[in-house]
Amino acid sequence: MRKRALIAPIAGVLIVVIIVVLGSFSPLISILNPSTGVIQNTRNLVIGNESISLPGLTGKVVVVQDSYGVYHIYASSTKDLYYALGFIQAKERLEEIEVFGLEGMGQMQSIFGSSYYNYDKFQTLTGAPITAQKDWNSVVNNASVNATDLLTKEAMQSYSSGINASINYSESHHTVPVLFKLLGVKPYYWTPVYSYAVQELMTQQLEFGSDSLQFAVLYSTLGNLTYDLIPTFSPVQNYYYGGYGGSTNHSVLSLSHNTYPINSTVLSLAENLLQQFKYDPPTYFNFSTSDHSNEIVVAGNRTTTGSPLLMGGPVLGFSLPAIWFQVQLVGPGLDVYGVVLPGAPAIIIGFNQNIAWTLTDTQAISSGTFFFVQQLQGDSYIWNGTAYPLKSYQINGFDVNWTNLGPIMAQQGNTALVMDWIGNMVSNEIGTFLQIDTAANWTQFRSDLSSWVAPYQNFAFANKSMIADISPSYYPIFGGTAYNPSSIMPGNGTEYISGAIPYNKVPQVVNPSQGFIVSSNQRQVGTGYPYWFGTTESFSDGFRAQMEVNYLLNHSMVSETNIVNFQGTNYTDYEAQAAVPHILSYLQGNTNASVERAYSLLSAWNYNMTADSLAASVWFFSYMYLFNDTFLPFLEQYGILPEFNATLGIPSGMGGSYPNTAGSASMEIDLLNAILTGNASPFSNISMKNLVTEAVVQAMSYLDQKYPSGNYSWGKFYGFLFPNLFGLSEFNVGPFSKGGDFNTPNDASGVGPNNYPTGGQSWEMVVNMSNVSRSFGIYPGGESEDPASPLYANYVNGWINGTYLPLLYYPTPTSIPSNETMDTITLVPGGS
Amino acid sequence: MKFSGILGFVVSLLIVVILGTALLFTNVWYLVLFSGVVASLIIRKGYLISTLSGFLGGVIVILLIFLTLPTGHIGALMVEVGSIAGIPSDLLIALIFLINGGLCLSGALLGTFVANAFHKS
Repeated sequence: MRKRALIAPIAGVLIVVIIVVLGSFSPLISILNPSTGVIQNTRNLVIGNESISLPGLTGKVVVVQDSYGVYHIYASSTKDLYYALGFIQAKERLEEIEVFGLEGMGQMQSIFGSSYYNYDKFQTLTGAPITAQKDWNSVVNNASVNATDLLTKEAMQSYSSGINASINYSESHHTVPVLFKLLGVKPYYWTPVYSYAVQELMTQQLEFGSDSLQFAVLYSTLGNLTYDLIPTFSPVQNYYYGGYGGSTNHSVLSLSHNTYPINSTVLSLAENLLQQFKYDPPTYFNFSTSDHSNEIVVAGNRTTTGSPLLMGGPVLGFSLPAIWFQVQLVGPGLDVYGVVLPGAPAIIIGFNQNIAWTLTDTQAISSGTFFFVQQLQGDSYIWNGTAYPLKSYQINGFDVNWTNLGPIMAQQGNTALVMDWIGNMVSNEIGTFLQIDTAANWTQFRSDLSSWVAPYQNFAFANKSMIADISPSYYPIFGGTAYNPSSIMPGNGTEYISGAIPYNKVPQVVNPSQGFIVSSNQRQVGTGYPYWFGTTESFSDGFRAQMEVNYLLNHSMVSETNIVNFQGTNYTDYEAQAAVPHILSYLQGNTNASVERAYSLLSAWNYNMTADSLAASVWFFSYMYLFNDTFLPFLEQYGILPEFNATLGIPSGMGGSYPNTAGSASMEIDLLNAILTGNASPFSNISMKNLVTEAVVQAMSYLDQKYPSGNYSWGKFYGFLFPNLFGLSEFNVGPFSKGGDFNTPNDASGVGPNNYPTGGQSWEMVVNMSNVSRSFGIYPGGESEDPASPLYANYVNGWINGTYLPLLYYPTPTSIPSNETMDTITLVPGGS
Repeated sequence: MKFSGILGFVVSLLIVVILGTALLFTNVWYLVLFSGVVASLIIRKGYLISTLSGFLGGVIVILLIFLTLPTGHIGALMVEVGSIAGIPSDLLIALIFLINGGLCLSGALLGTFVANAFHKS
């Protein structure tokens, strides 16, 4: 055979070899496979009527997607309802659901590789995966005797089946979400344990922290000056929705001022553990931000409708897809509208025919995370002089040891730092929400919440005739020789959690005479409260709440539109309102040219952080420099900085607005108090007049240098960015210019253009109790997680502009007008 | 079978398109190679016609598959995939055509070689 004759077949073989090699060493061939690859995912993008046969369904379920993209699910049985919710949510958000599950369980490495080793290790160490399993076991074991657990078991199992049906459906139709195809992995099957891992994850987001470790480190250096830096009670707060505004309870104050002295070994452990806390949350899929939130309920005698109005605005980290998924669920005994989390089958914030509710995180109380020093002896720990065996777990490939107080988080020799985190109590908050979703009145609502443990939340409530707010949770009471629970405590048995604040004594109020309730992360109860309730060391200084109170005091009658506009586009900064008149008095008569310019701008300012305001920028940066000039030299003088830079962070004003700095609510409060009283001691011996003048000069110099033309309007520094949850910056949306700052309802701060806030009111909702069908709301995102979908970020512009969408609330699928219908999906029993 | 040049090309093309489309439904992409092999074994019109019909047939198969999909969304989806993969979306789409055409073409080359070998023996 001639050599030439072999060229063609060799070329053919070569082409095949190249393609096979390409397919073996890269996912390209499987991704591009025309019959199973990503191209098939175009089917997911079609919006249109369809009928889907699903195994496990017992009856027909009608799912209507309204003209805004919101899903309304109508089922004739509870099981089918939650099955359909799981199916539909996974259809739109499977990637997000699965990431939440893995994150909660500390199993990120299984899909995203070894770069998540530290995160998984720390997450496992916290106990979250262990507690998730215990939570579900408890539900299963108690389902025969407890109605909530029975409902939970049924809902969770059906919801899991729905998610798994969606996975099977997408696999058989080759429409598994793109991320899985690109990573070359299969979605894992959902179980209720993952739902409880999501519950743990959310508790971590809202109620988990290292405040106590930081306090201990500060106290070891500053001694009693720590109580000046982190006062127990705010000297400037005066609105407490839960009352107790009387004289200071001295036993509570004494407890807060009795800090357990730690030795160098424990200090070293605390520093080490503070470093580890940086693994939570992980680098990507990071939906943590300053978890501020707003809730207002206004009584009917102050509204134009004559019935209460409820405003909800939970502040969470932004992401696309957003954390929330908006639905109406209609089934036997249930007709509820609101938002659900990925992996949890209950409306978290919303309304039904009779009631509406929303949530905010509570202030302080050490983030529900308490630390004890315990002595170990081999495989035992010492408690009241007796050795007890450690409980050992092997989870996710990691060894975790627990004492009677909780997991050992750090250990050196026989000395261990043990964490008693409230999130590790076995509880069923998802079940509580399932019950709330059907509550018809305050009595039921309050009763449902009586078993709530964590995270520490305020629940605002409204029905047609009343308003209320309650903060149910397991707030520990400390027994024995009690040291300050805001710091590290002795774990030898002399101090222990002896119980919780009784339910009838937790912060709560019903129909206050003021005619409104505001709960925006401020401390709920005043200085006269008989129980220890944390300190000012917190994520919130309470200034937003005061701004909201002022608004309501100045508006004796409000409409739904007033509240929508207030929530979406009111940018009044309460701290500026309180401080700027004093700042002007310090500046008065100063002949420095830049000070005169600042004086002129600030004296004509209405304290609104609008995007076009020059004065807003002057205020913001003057405040930042004032904060730094007041506190940083003080911290340097005592060696806190730079020694503890890595563990405590460098504080800065407005919640830590500058990159690589940390926020401190206590210092914000300290600074406002210093401005109001004219006395910065013990932090600075310099007069307030000189401190303020110097800060204003620095601010004007910075602004002039940054914008020589003088156009340093606030919008140049502030706006919002909506990042893709999976770290794909190509699919970020924004930044968009918008007013506001750390002290306004959209309370994040930024010094753009590269540091725009990525958090804010994650779900804005105003419910009109005179007719809940005339309610409005919006979240910045869209129902789909797919960037190629028109429903990926279709709500963002409305959120930025404060244009809320009507929350369409229809009792049956046939009652939805055709012009308000995008498509209808009919789910029917069948298939395999 | 005896075919004229043009008829041979058309029949070969049809075989590749029909068989290639059918083989894609097995979900194993590499199998489309056999559409080229079979066409060239049946038609036996030499390398020029088999390679042309093989490659073109492979491209047409992809066009047919695309027609079964909601074509209006393909652009947006491939932009998404391309952004994540770091490859331009146009190149990704072109690669689907090229790979499928390449597989059919290589099948055609191998099939023609085998046909020629049998013919000579």
